[in-house]
Amino acid sequence: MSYIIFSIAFIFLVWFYVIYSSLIRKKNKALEALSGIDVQLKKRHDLISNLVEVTKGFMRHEKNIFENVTKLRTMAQGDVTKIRDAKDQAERFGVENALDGQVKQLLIAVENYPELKSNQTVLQLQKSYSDVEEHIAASRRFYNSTVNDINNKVEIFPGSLVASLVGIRKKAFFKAEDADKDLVNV
Amino acid sequence: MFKPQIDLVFEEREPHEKGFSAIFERDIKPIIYALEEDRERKMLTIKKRRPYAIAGVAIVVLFFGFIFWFLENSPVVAGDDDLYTLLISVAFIIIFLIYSWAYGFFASKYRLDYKNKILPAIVNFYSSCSYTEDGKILGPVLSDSNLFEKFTDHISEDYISGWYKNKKFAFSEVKLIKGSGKNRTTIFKGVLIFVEMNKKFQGKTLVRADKGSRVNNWMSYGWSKNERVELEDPKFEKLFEVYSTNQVEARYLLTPAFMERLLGLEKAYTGKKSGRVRASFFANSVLIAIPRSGNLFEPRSIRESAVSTEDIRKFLGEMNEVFGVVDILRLYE
Repeated sequence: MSYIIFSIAFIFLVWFYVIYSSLIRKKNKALEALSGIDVQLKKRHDLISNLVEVTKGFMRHEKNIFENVTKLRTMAQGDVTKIRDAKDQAERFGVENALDGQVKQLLIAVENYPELKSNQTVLQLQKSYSDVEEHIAASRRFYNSTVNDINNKVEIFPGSLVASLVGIRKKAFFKAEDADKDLVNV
Repeated sequence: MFKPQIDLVFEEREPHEKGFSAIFERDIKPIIYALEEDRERKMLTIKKRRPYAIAGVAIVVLFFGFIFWFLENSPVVAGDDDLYTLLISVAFIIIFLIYSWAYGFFASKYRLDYKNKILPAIVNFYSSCSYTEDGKILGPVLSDSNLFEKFTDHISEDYISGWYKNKKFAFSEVKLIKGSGKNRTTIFKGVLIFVEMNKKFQGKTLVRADKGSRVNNWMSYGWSKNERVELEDPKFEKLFEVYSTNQVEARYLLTPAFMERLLGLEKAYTGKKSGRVRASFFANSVLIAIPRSGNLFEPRSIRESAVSTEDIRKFLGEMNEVFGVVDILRLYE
């Protein structure tokens, strides 16, 4: 009899461990994906700094845009992976989207300055910026894919049971329209 | 000197033929007339050799027929299957040599001349590329792509290489075979297109046919060290399986717009029986494999006159299909 109880307990422990480790792996994958977004955002910030340095001297009439860009860059500091609260995360992504909007306005304004339009450095920066944007989009898609995986595991039995015991919760998808709602008024 | 009975004129009928008539007048028409002159000479030789060939085959058949009859009635070697097989093989070889001497050699030479003289002009109309009948996309490129299982034979023809829309481009018709002797099987027959991409990336991403179920997919691709990439487009996911060394990079390459274009290519270029388009992204380039059973860029038989725009029109259409792959996928963006 004790042998049967011991076997059942052992099987239960193995089953619990398998689901628990799967949940942890998926959680870490989501974190890895978020870290990927953070890396690309940092690259973008560096590019924006270079773009502002190169264009500021020529575009004295676009003071408003430069001020907004600088303000938003300051607000968008810090590691995205360290933001735990979903609302804070959405707010941070809102700042990044607003920053992107201002940079795009800056790039449109560049078209009015012939000496900048054909400047090799500016052209290269524009190309790099466009490339980084595509990488950010790809990172976000990967992040949403990992969130989908972890949410499926957390919501469907028996993963939901183990998740509730160890405190692993659903994560929010990155939705562009939600981030836009939190656009900071500069 | 060949004198044409009618002056050949190329009428531009399709959008992709626009501007070709001038090239035809200047470069291709003189080649066609020269080919026709050569074809008529070859046909004359074929006609002269025909009675000798028929006589030769008749002699071979009678001779070997007599040998078989003699051996059948010989108590020593009657029923020796190996000997009969050897004799039949020798007979076929001799008949084949007679055929080649009387016709095959001329037909083959004419076909190669036609392709090597006409196709470069057509390729140049579309791109800054060159054409060779017997070139090939290198074996190591195919191996590095991981698109195909290991192959022992790589048969290639109609190799086009150079630049198209400022991107390095290569194309060939290919047949990949594995095994030897009775165990030879064709693992792929179709066309390969290799294009340099604007996007820069480090790893490798494979797009292959979905085998229908998780079990089948795992059995086909599960051994791969690459991670499976689940993408958002349900139509794309139904037809293709994607594996990559980097999940983010795979999504950087396979944007929603690109997946739509690949689906469009699949619909336009393959049929139900031909198999699925495959693609491998590696070394800042993409190798696309499109299965097809027919043979591209083949002229008509030596028996038919070369003075015609039919083959030219067919080649133009096929060439448009080849470069069209790059346009459909917008690989230059």
